[in-house]
Amino acid sequence: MSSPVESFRPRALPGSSPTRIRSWDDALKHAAKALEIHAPPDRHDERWLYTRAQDFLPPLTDSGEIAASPESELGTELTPPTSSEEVLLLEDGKLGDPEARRRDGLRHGVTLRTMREAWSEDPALMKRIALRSPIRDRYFVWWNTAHLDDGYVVVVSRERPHHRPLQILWRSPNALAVRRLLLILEPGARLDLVECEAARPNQLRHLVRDIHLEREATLHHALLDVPGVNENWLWTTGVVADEKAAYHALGVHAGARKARHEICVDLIGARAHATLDAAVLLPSKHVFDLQTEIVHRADATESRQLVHAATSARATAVYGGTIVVESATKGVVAHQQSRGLLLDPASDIDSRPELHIRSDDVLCTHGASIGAIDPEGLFYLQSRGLNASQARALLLRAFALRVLETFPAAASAALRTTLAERLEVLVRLLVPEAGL
Amino acid sequence: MNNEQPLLDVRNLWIKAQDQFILNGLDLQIRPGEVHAIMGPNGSGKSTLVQSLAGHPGYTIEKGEISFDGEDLLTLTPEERARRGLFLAFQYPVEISGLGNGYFLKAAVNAVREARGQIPYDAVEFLKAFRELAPLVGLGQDFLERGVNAGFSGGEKKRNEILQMLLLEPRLALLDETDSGLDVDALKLVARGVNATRSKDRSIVLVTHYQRLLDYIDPDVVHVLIKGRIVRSGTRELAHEIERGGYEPLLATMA
Repeated sequence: MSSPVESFRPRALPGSSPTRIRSWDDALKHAAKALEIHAPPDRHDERWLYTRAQDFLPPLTDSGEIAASPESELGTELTPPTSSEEVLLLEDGKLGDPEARRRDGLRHGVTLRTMREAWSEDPALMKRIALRSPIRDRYFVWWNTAHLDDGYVVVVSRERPHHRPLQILWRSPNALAVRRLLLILEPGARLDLVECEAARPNQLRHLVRDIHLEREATLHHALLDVPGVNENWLWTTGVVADEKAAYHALGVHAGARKARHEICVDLIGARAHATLDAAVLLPSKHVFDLQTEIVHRADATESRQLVHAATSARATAVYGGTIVVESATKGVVAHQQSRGLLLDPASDIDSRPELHIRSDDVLCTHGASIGAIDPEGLFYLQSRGLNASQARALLLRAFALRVLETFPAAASAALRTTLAERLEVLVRLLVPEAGL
Repeated sequence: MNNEQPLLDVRNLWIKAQDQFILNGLDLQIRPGEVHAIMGPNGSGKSTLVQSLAGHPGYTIEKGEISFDGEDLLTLTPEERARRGLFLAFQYPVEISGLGNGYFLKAAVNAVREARGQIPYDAVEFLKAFRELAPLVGLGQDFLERGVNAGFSGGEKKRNEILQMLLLEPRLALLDETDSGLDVDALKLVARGVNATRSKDRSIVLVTHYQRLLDYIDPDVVHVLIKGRIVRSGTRELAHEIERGGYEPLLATMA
């Protein structure tokens, strides 16, 4: 298995080098070429032990085309409640009319373009960003690019008042939904972002995010998914943080039939900071596979990962957390902690820390624990008149909210409220009999 | 001592934990309004007794009967016991970070109120009840935002237990070494909370090692529990006697 860092390096593809990409069409061609050469990841890669690449690939016809699923297989859309005044509604291949863009997304220091428009208007910037992306050489990023019509580029300037959360709501009427977002925070910009997906039963969804934080930019990022029915989804997120930039992500996840989020953070500027936290509350039979990589490439960079996962009957939660501290870096601080709560003995939690420390001047910690609900806590709450279901629900709620408590205080109250409300919804979903 | 029917009637109670008998044929009767103190050396079974009464699943009742207000207590779950008016103040209150005290207390109070046929408190009514009772144990409103016992000092944990007792209005309160680890000021606050809840309908069991708690809470009966049985009962003078001479003389008579 190659090291995480090696996997980021550009690969020479015959006739299609990433350095030759000058337009969106070049990017599409490069991705198509890469797909011809590379096979999907398999279980020889330890990061693919619990979800398989095939879970996220659509069925093909005999001629190799994607088999279209009849619309009748798709059920009613499950949409998360919107919690922000500003909702950027992104549908597959449609950006809405220009007037609507001006009315909504374009105000308050946010601009929105298609990927094709952005490449056309500023190819040098787009190329610089593309070459810095830590996820550019991943199979499913090529796959995503090759199957896209277009993607979205959101640029946030320092004019943006950060206390106004922006919500991006992804939705698609199709059985196969392939989406792409490039989010750029200009120097000194701050954004509180709530990002969620609407779900349809039997849907297969791909979403690739590239996030670029320029000097002293800060992003508070709430990532929410809506538990659907028989759906599979894959998110791939790459983050680059320049000097003194900060990326704070908190995911609230219910998983799906098969759900996976790969998130790679490159801390390339001195004193850049990242927190990748997640509260994972899986209903029965759901799967959620979280794979993180944080690479410290500069001095005095700091990171923290905190993952709390709880599983109902026959659910599977997976966490693979990788920390890489590059040689010659000084003063790096990295912490990682994962806790698993088995709500049912017939459920699985797998937690795998992976630390690659190549520097001496580093403070790095990790811890992992998996267990059942504390019987003393249960008895304590029951002795106060709460029945067993209510007591379990309160303990589960506490377990999940502990992640939210660590979210930076600088995040807006509206963002925190959104996250807390989603956690409450999932607790009720997991312990409905508690009647909370 | 009054002549009413016992609120709690324990007869010939034998309890096992991890294949070992902890209580060996214990008898205890507590009538409404009475305050009983149970003293005894380490490992005598004091905590086992009160935790079993509250329904702790870690103990096996091998033999005996327990009735609470005429009802067989052993058939009830821990929450059913609580809803009928039995309260245990824990020796080591459990810490639950992430669960706010306010959220927890309101949920507990309303679970008990609903079971008793009372209308659940809304947020305003709950806050009113809290503001009336919290000052008795020296707790302020900021306490509602903190996690249940998380990061509390020993004294704060014990005061939280007494506050819960005041809010839940039990008919029988079992206080398991509530005085342990408290400085004299915290002890006075706890005693003030306990005394505030005394009434002719409410009974209290104080489990303690030391006589000093009884300087602030005057018991009707003092029991000495040794090797899983009550070996002697008396007035508060018995507590003074133990304070002076320890348990050795009583252990010697059992040899």
